[in-house]
Amino acid sequence: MYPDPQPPHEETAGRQEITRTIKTKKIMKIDIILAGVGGQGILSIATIVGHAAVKRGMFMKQAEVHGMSQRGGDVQSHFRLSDQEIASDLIPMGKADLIISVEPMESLRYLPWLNKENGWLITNSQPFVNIPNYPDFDKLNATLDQLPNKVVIDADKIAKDLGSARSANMVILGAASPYLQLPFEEIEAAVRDTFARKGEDIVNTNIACLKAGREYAEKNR
Amino acid sequence: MSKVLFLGDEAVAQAALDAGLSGVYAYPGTPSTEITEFIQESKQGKAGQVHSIWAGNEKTAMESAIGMSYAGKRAMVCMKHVGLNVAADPFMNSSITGANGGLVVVVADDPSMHSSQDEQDSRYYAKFALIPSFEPSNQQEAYDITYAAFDFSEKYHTPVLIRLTTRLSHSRAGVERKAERPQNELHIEENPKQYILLPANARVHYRNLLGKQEAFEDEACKSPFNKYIEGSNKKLGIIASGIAYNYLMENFENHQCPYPVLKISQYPIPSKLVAKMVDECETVLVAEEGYPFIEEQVRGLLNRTGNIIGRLSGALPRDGELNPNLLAKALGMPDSYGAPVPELVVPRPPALCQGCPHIDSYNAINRAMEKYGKGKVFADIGCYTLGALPPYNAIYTTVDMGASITMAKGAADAGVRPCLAVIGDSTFTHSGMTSLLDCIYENTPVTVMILDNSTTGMTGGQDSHALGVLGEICKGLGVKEDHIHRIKPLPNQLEENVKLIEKELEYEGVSVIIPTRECIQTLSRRMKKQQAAKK
Repeated sequence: MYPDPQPPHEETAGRQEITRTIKTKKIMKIDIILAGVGGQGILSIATIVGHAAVKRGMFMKQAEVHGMSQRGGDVQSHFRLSDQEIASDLIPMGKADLIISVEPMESLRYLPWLNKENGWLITNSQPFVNIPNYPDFDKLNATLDQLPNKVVIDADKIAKDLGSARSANMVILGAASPYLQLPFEEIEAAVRDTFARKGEDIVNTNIACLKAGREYAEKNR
Repeated sequence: MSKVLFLGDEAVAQAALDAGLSGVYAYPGTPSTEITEFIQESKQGKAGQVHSIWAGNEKTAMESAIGMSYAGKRAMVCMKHVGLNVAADPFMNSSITGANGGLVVVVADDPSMHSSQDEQDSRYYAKFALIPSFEPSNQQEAYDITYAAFDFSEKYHTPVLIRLTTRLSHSRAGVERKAERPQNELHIEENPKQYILLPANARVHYRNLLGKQEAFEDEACKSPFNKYIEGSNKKLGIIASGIAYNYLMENFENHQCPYPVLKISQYPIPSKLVAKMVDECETVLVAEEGYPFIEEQVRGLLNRTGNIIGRLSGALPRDGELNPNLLAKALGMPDSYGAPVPELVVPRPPALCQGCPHIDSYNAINRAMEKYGKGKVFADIGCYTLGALPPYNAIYTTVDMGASITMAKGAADAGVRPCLAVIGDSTFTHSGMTSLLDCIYENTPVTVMILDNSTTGMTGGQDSHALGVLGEICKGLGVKEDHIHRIKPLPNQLEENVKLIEKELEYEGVSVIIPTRECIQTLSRRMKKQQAAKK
């Protein structure tokens, strides 16, 4: 009916990797699906990473979910960073470098977006149960176990032990940080900037959570 | 100037402020709400005393905006796609009056119905009203187009429409701003006949509007927002409008497409550019978000050539929003897909919040309605629409704003007894008051429950016109005082509430029950603010 496409589009080449090289200049791009349940605040992660990336002069696009689903439904955000202009607000399926999720079942919902070869899934292990037919925890953990590239972390417990149950998101961000291709100091600085107006104590707790998450991820790679 | 991160909605708002806006008029509706909220929060808006208080509904919003334009100032009116149905009367006639101060109508469509009851395409409304429309493809263009739209409106003395879709409204990217310019001075329309749409005047204005059509299309042909990008491979040409352009380009390395591409972001459809593509390409793929608006016009009723493909031909799905994968498939490129979703993953539908007052209202309603059987509760648009889902399964209709009361009336007229309408406080003042008046006029046996959570909840808690005045409104409309009740939707009041509802259901006339308790979301936000203030 209509013709096959002609070169040049080795469209899949280069996309398989987070970084690649053109004319010796390193191009950086990272596509992230952020996942969770409406009200869990997945966007705070995007705010911080976005802050760090924009400071570097990178391009960013971030598609959010507002409206009906925010009432306890599944929510996701397509979060894209690149040092080249970004076309689509949505990440193509199979092309996401990372799934970062604050809820284990929700992390699995977006597997069709994750790059099968070298995508990583980083998720909180603590289920958020607000539906009657939530899957069996053991089966859920077994499914997560089978994934080749994942970090499953009890962010709730780590955050609580560090004195701030509300900072579980920062533990998750810390666990994702080795995969973000951004220098850790810059993420740390973005956390400081984001929480600065809430006082030194809150900044320090969040930094501690961030570091604890990173430590866990590096041990469990 | 450095870039600022804006949602598509926010880019529109900032551009309107920078272009010298004097007032925004709107009723909240996903995905358009953030435009008005941005202006409400903006220092620039406050400093310029830009009007930004919510309107009662989209019709009143549109009319106020026409009034501000009449007075010579720049006005913007924002709504979701179905809101334009409510505003359709003043909208259609505003194209006949034309605009004095710049008048920009921003409508956010919701393809895939993320938070809506249909996926109607507002470009048809602009065509219907014979006015130009714009469809930005990204956040920067949302800014640039909004800024330019006010100039266009003032140049041609016409309202213009900007069509957004969910993914642009709610996606964030860096945007470069233009220079701020001052608001217009007051200058009331000088032609005394311009806004008096008596038939004799309207005929003249309508002919004027028809006379402008050619200029509108010329503008679209030379618009910086429409571009014809040459391509070496003429076996295929691609017309991509709005955000579909991004999904197309996502599929090509360095965004270099080998085929000619016509990007459309300004309407009427630039037919000269379309002709060039159809003439030089064997097949033309039309990629557009929403209805096949361009495709249908380009291929024509008879589809004689058969070489225009898109949503109508099946190259792209007929419904739902587009994405890069669908474009890849239409282009015959290899599709990418990760691992399948594991079977144990179950849907997680939205639900009423823990502690939500609507839960207690529905518990009482379900108890009271038990003996009457199913099918007799008529509901409306808002958080309480979630009463349709388990565990409540409490409601049977949701059609449009205000329909609960009038549908209950129609069913009562047909002989259904009892008929219970469930409507929120904000939805009631939006479109329920005239419905109630119809019931009162005929003393129709309906029981109306106005769930008063003192806010417009589903869109995130905007102020409701109904705050503290619902009883007075109902009394004023003519509901008998002994059939107006305020109740507390709380678990410990359940028995009492059930009894009262049962009693009113038996009454052969109009009764209004108002369960009153603040939205749990706005309450907790208010508490946090209070605590912060104490510190």
